[in-house]
Amino acid sequence: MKYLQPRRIYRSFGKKFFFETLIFSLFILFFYGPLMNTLMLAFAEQYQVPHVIPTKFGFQWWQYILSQDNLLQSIFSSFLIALFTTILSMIICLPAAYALARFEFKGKRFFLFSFLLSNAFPKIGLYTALGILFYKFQLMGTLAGVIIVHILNTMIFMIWIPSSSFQSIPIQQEEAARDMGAGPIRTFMQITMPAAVPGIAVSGMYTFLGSLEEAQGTLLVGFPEIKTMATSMYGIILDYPPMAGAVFSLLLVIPTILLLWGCQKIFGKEIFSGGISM
Amino acid sequence: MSKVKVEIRNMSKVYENGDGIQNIDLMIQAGEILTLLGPSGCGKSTILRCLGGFQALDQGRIYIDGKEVTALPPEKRPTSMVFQGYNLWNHMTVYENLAFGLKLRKYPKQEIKQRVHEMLDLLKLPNIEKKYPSELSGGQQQRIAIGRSLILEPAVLLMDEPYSALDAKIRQQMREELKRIQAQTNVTVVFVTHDQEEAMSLSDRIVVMEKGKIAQVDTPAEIYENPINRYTASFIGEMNFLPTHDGKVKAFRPEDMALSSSNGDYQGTVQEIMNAGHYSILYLAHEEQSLKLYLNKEEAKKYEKKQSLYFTINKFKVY
Repeated sequence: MKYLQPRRIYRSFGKKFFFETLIFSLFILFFYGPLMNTLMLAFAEQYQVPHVIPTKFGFQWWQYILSQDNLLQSIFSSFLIALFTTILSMIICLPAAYALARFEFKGKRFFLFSFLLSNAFPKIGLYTALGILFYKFQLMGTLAGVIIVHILNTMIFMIWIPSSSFQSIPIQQEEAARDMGAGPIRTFMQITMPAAVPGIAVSGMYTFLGSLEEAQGTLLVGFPEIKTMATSMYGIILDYPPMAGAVFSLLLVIPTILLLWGCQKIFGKEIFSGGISM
Repeated sequence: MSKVKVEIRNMSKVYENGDGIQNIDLMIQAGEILTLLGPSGCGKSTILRCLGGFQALDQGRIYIDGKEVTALPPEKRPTSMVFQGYNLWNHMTVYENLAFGLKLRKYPKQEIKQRVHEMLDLLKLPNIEKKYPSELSGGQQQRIAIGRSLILEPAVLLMDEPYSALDAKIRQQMREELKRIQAQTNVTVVFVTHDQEEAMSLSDRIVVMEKGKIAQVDTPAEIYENPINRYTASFIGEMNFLPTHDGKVKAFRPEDMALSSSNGDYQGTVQEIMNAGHYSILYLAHEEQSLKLYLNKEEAKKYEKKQSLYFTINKFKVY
């Protein structure tokens, strides 16, 4: 223990190493601290002042959460909405992405950048304006309304990333298919789409995860009829002890980690570091 | 007597930057290998793409086997194209690549299998049907691409610089293979290249193109012996140009002359003698020019640098 004194480390390894390690440790603490805390809380059964760490660990709170019907309902809704959002977003956005990748037309640049607009403003302002329209069309509090809000959020991913994927497919591949006798639609489905799978999978993943965590718009449009995990979270934090919140939070985080890990395993790491290029 | 397979009448397509083709008239005979030859931007690929249906025309008509195809999209034309690269679909096996067109036309499974195997035998590439394109070499990929086009028995096989991305030795083998396959199937081939050596060795006829127009259409031998203008003369093979006193040029091939140390029509000084294997190249300084002359290796031994030599031109053209 004597040799772990900061003074000794500073002297033996040098100033650079010392401060680098210090800053790195602080960063790790800052970054993973809350996550560690959540993990700890989720499995805590007995946790009282003045103890710093829980005295007893167990699955008590997991059983509790999973027995609450309304919470289970919100978990189910979350995943259902995420699934629908992803599928519908693909149907709407992928043809648009292809058009932007292959064709030239008036106003193309404008269209491309218009999808950035929804991210340029504070979302709550957009949702309020949207809310007014939804009241008119009686979409407030409906599943359709919530899904529309989610799709709007995802458009930027589902158009920019697949478009860049489509552009990187050599046009000869598609021309060869047409040459063989395939019409434009068949070429798109059998040649273009399979070649763009990595890009589409990644943007689909972003869409799914984004939909799971979407809270603001869902709260505004869906409450109180539609409850997702993200919106229920507000209530849980207020009404239940912190352990319940921790369990719920892990329920949200685990699919995220699994999906990210799965995507990276199948498609490799470059697809994430590649970024969005146009 | 061979009949006309493809007829192109007054075809034009001009791009925004000025490149393209103008007023092209061409008749392609059945069973011949016709090469479109020229530098980048001369329009050879444009003609090919228009033939294949990948490019719309500004004006003109195209007839294949007597039927007009000008307005037809690629999938409805009896042509098949082999591109310079990225031909095969990476997510499909060799078998699936070859079978794609046949499956589309609803051929029975047994017949597809038979045709694929026959094609692989013709290409001399048996037993690779389960491999993916990424597992094949560049040359093998191009051969499969050719096979995929031929399996549909097209009226015309269009090839857009298919060997340009391969290295020299492989290119040579591919040319021989193409001639063999063409002799066996008797398919009409339209070949595009910027490599005049490839054009000379491969073609039945060559179309030399200059800036969107046809300069000369002839057999390789004829183009070499009698180039119609200065452009064609300088594009094919090596050529020396001597200016005449009335503003024209006298053009002669490096081998069409006789050298002598004592007498001749023209005089020059030896700059350099380079050994090129079975012949030698002699660079002669003559009136501010450096002329290139070919000698057989025996004769080259007689001369040396800085020597004063005379030469007489045996065959020439004036432009």
